[in-house]
Amino acid sequence: MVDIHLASDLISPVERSAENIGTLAGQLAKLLQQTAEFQELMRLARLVNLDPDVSRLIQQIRRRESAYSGNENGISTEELQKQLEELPAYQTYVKAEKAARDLFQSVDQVISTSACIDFASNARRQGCGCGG
Amino acid sequence: MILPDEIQQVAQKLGQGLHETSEVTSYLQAAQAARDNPDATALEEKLLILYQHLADLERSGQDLDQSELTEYYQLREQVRSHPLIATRDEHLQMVKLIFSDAGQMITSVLGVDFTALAT
Repeated sequence: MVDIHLASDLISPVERSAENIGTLAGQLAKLLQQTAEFQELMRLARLVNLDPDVSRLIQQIRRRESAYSGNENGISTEELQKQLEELPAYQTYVKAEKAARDLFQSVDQVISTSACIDFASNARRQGCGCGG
Repeated sequence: MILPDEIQQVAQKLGQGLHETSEVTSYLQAAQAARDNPDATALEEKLLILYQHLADLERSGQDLDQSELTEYYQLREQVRSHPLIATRDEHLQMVKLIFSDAGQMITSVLGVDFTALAT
């Protein structure tokens, strides 16, 4: 009698497990994409990126953070940050980001509880510390 | 936040899948072994207390005592080289690799950093 091996029999349990995790992670991401919170975040991110006032202030703040350049035009980083936070487009975006964070944190909690170990905090890619 | 049923189920399955990997199983066993060892727990507790003391001093603007700093670094080295703690930490690095792959998969589909927003 000839043994018939299904393709799945040739995959080790470790490979099957990794494949299963990848599939489930992809499936979860697709479900998250369909949520109102995520759709709203994407919509407002596009809008906020098009807002010239937001772009200008973010660029100014980033310049300050990357290299100290003194008080450009006498305006401090805190003042620039305050101006940014007062813009309605930015405020709406921040609200949408908070809603998406709440959703993602709830999802993380479910994964972590089932895995018996924190998921997101252990999944974060660690930088090399070189600032690159 | 109450999650939609489908998201809840898939998230649970993903967590379960991660839990069943040899990396997580080995880590949980190693973590338990470290917790069950009085020397290991005492060392970690001592390090935490000293760290908090130094952090409090720094926050209040006081100069850090050099002998306390030296004690801290020596203690940290002792903690790191404790066999059970070192084994646990090695296993955690393996867990982080597979978790990172799963997180990256979610992030690449979404187009936003899932792990950054979730922590």
